Amino acid sequence: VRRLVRLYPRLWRDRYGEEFTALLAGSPRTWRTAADIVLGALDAHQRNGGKRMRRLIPWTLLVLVAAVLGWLNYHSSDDVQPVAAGLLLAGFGFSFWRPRLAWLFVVVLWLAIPISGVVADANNDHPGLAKAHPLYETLVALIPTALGAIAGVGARWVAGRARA
Amino acid sequence: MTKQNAGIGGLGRFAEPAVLVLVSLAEGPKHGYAITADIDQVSGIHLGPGTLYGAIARLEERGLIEPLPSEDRRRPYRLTGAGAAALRAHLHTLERVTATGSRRLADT
Repeated sequence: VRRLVRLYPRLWRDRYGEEFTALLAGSPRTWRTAADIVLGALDAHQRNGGKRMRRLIPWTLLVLVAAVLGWLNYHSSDDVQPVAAGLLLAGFGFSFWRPRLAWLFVVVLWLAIPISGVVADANNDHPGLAKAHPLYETLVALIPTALGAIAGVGARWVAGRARA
Repeated sequence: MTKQNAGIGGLGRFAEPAVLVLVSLAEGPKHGYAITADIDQVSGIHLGPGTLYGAIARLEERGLIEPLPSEDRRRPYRLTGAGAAALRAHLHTLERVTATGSRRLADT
């Protein structure tokens, strides 16, 4: 029966393993106990997986939004306003949602601009258009992203104070 | 890190074991084996180790119970203030349901 403890996730075993094993030492060694441990292990894996999934949600959304912004930037010719507005809104939204990760969100969102710029240049998609210098475009993209993030963190802080 | 949660709702199949664990800890801090033995004695229900620790993990995550320093591989748990409040509210609801059920049965 004690070997069944290995069925539990490592994180769970690190936290409860020792006391759980101590409890098993005084439990009857029956099929019912074994079945209960197996069901408990399944539950622990499910909960562990659920936590991991919840942690991945903001990053998955962030990559999707960055991909959309990169796509917009790739297809924009001289009109950068939709891209700037998108960076501002996304920076605000993500930073409001998870203020502690704001700077990471800014980096990922902003990276969509130089990457899509490099791809557009490589494909030479907008021949003949007077394009801004790539470095200039990249630096300018930081402004709405950072402003949005700062506003998001600030709004979250104000909301927290108001709730308190 | 614990997540504070006011009640014991939404625990699914662990709701009843969780209430039994809270009732047991209302008497004072206990480790896993003592909780199982107490629940067995009070309610006649034998909680398996997987079920017990499923309930303990959830209650701890909600801040309704907290661990104390380990004693010879056995870690005792105690009821928190939030846990006592949640148990009180739950028992109050049960009392209402029991009273209503008994009254209705008497009327039939």
